[in-house]
Amino acid sequence: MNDEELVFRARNGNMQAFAELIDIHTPTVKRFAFQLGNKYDDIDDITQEVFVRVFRFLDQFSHAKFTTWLYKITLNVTRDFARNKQRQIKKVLKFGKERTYNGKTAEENILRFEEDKTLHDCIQKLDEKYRIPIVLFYFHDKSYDEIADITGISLANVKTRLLRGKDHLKKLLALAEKREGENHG
Amino acid sequence: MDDQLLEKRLDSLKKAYNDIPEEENRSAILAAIKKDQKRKNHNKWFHLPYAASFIGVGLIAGILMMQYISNHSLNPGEHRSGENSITGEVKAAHVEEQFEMIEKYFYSKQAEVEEKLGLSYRTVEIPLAPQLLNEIDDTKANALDNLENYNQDELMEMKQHIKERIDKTFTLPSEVIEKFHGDDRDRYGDMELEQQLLLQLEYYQSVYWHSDITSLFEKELKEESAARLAAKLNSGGKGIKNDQLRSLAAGAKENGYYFKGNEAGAIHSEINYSWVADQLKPNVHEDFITYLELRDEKIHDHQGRVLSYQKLGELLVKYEKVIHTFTHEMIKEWIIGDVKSYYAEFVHGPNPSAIFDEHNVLKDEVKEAFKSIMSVYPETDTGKSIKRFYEELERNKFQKPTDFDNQMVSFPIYMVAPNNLKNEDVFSDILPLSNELLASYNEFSSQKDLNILKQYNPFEIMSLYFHANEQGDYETMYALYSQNDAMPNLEQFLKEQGNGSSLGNVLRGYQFATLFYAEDDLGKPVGVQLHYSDDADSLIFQMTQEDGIWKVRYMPFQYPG
Repeated sequence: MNDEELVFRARNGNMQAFAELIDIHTPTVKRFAFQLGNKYDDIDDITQEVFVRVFRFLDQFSHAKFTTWLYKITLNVTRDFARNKQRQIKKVLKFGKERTYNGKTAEENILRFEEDKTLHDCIQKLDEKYRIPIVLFYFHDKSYDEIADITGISLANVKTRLLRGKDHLKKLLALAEKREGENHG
Repeated sequence: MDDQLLEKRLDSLKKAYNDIPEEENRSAILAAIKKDQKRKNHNKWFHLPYAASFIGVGLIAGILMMQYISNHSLNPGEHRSGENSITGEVKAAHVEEQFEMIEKYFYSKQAEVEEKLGLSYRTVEIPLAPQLLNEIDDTKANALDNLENYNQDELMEMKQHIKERIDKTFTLPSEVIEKFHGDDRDRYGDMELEQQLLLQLEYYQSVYWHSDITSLFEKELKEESAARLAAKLNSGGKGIKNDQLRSLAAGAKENGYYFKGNEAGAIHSEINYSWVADQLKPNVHEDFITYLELRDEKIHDHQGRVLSYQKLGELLVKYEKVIHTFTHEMIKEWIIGDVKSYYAEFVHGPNPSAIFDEHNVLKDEVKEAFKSIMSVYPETDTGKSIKRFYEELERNKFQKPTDFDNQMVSFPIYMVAPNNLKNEDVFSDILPLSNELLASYNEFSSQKDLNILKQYNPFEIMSLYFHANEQGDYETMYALYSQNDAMPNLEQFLKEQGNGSSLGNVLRGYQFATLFYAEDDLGKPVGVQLHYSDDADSLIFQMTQEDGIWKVRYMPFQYPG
């Protein structure tokens, strides 16, 4: 059954259909949320909130492709989450990152190679307007049209931002690697 | 840094991202949704106090209200006559006014449906379509927050859209059944009415459930059992004095429901699919009739628990046999959807721990059902898949595997492969290995004698390769390669595998495999093509036959050109 049929059924109260949508799309939502710069420990909360909103607004979803809509909601939830997080950080001082069974942070377990970690960090340093198109284009295989739909910017802007984003990224990466070289003597 | 290098680095990072572990999130998400809905429903009654009184007014008020609405403004064309400008500015008071009408329309339609179903006197004061009401509220809040983004036309369009949603939601199954026999039957698309009927049947069953119908029978249940009372209701209310209950019985029957009473004294509704099928004849495709009749096989109790795993297994086999007779592609797709969820339930349970006991051992009832299906129906795809699954559990002494909760269900081949493929060209499960293949693997792993592989086809050799990789048995992996390809020596190869090279990703979303043939010689297989559930590009696993033995090409994975 494709997304549209599942949405159709879910909208009419079939929770099994909605559960299938959750199963199918959770990995994409989690990956996208992580790539947008969220801490891995927050990903489950964000994913949960994304699907709560999807369910809440299921009836307002009409002609758009379901995945496009899902990406949009994930972007919104991430932005809201970042705002709340900032408020929380002011209140609570956190000591260190949560560690997993092997003593590494969840992020370290995913980004096992130093080169991947450096690139991930550089992407996070990009301005959001460059970061989102780059993430969608390179990691989710989205076309220019789809990126324009998800981000709500024009096709020409998508192309420009991808080009500029790549340039910024190259510079950030060169700088990071230069620093790393200096640190390692 | 040049573009090429950056792209390569991005590609490497993509692979790392794709390895993010897939943990089970479904139950936590569903619980959060339930909580969210409950909160919203609760709040609803604080700001909609008039709702209950409106329901009480009943049908007459409903009709009057509908007349009022249709005379006033649910028709956008009529509404515009009073406006200074069609695309004029929208004011908050205007939005409030329009949404008040929408809500009144909602309640009038609800009252109409309650009357028809005999639910006017239900004791549970929640709307029949709470989700829709929430959405109307959300839409209103959104419109009020963004007045500058709306003009009159858009507001009217939005209202019309909501009205259509209300009409659709409050369409009873009996009304959909009527459409099958109407003169304008042809104006509906292929399977449009069938799909609508299925949805409305399911929807109104949940309405009965939410309405807590048992509470309507409080007095009667003091005098007789729930089962007897349910039988009376199903016979059209004969012997029941209470008018309200008789109208409930009539409403249910007319819409394709019947009642069941259990020992705990509760009464619940079931969909009478066979009765519905009879009502549709002869104006419906015969596959749809069979589909409905199959749905009448009840395998769950009213709380969604599997009544009998043996019966569930038998039903799976019945589905497999019937599906091959279907000619309508869309109905076939629906029925495959149904049987897939039943199969997943059979091998994984409605939740991951349902088929295991408190010590994480496979329950006897489930084990016996597996054994029965694989021995009585060995020739069926269902029987073959169950056998493979059973053997894997047997090797694990029937203990729940540690990664069981995250395992993908491996479906019988007929559920995943297109039906135009010949049986001998299609292959389903790569892992785990069957007992027979595992024995050959162990023998080959210790002796490296290629003659052991002689009896196996390309699919099976590929399975051995994946198994060797899973086991970290790189020497055996190496021994499966064709030595005619340019490749490193064994020592170099083992060194390269030092950090571990898992093929687990390749199997993510995998559904089935077919033989892949040479472009210039369609009779000569040159590998196996892997097909995935998400329609992602299929991968080719390249192979070659040497002296009658299938070998793996070095670096076997390639995308089709």
